[in-house]
Amino acid sequence: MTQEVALSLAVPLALGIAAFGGGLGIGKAVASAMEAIGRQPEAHGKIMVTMIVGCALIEALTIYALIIAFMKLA
Amino acid sequence: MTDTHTAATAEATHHVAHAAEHHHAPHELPNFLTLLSGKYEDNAVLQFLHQWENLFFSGAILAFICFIFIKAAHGYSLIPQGSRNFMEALVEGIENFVVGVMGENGRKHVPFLGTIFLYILIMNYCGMVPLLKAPSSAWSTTIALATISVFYIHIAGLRALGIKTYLHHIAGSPSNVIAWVIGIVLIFPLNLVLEYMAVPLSLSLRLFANISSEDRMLLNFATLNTTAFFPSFGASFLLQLFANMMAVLFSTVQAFVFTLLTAVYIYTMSPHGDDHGSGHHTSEPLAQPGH
Repeated sequence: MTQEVALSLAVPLALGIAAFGGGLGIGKAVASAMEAIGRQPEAHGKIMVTMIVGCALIEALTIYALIIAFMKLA
Repeated sequence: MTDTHTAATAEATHHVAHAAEHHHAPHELPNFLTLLSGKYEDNAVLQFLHQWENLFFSGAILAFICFIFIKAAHGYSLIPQGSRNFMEALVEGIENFVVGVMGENGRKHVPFLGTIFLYILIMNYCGMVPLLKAPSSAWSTTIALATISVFYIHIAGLRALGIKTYLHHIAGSPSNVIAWVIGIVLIFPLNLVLEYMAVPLSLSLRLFANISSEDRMLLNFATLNTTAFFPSFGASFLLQLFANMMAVLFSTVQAFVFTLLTAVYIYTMSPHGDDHGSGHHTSEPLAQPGH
């Protein structure tokens, strides 16, 4: 197995694992936010903004994996 | 032994050549500087501009924003007309949003936050305009923006808190002796590293990776469209439309997130302890203190 083959197997796998975790996290955040909006529709704006901040922080972890993938593939 | 050695060397040189070749492979759709500098290879000005294309485009976008806002601000009248109408609605929307997040104290941060929002938004959108480039798809642009944000956050915090309360806040707001010892030994250096390194890194890397991967996606779908249009019967065209819609959405969300996180960081640096007792604020601040 050359280095190139190893990289082309490992990099998408690593990205997939990172995206799996991030997807679970964002899914939980969005589900809770929707539940909260369903319970209190008038707080829609505030819940939305807080949810987006949380989603951005969760998503950052997946983005770090993406950057490592770019660095490895470049 | 020598055989394997030469083979390894050959492979290494091949790898280096491959890497060098890859380095020049395009990551995003070509802009007009790429095309012009490819056509006139002996023109020094074009080569120079192509080398510094991120700076060129960010400067051009800066000039564009200045131009449209100065033009809109020109000629004051009580009833706004034309582009001034739109700009007033835009500025008012940003102001209402910032005040909604940070409370009434945030009104003085509206100029900075609004500027950074519009600048990032237009930079992101430039990646989708033919023959233009998104400067925010390079890390050098986004780390500059994040550094500015971090300095602004801490200068605003120092101004609002004063040097003593600021240092107290950085040390984790200790109240008794044990908390003071732990705060000075552990939490103070930890918070310094977090506030001055982790915050700008995460702000800049998030924006850079989102926008650059978005531009790569646009390039890949466009390439697919030109090479595989006939066998796929236009399915690749639909894919490209989808990618463009995603790009519009993510460009907006990323500009929004950058502004929102900066606003939240400024809010956590401001003295909000005595603000909770007085319940006469119509728009109660949304951000919560602490991480």
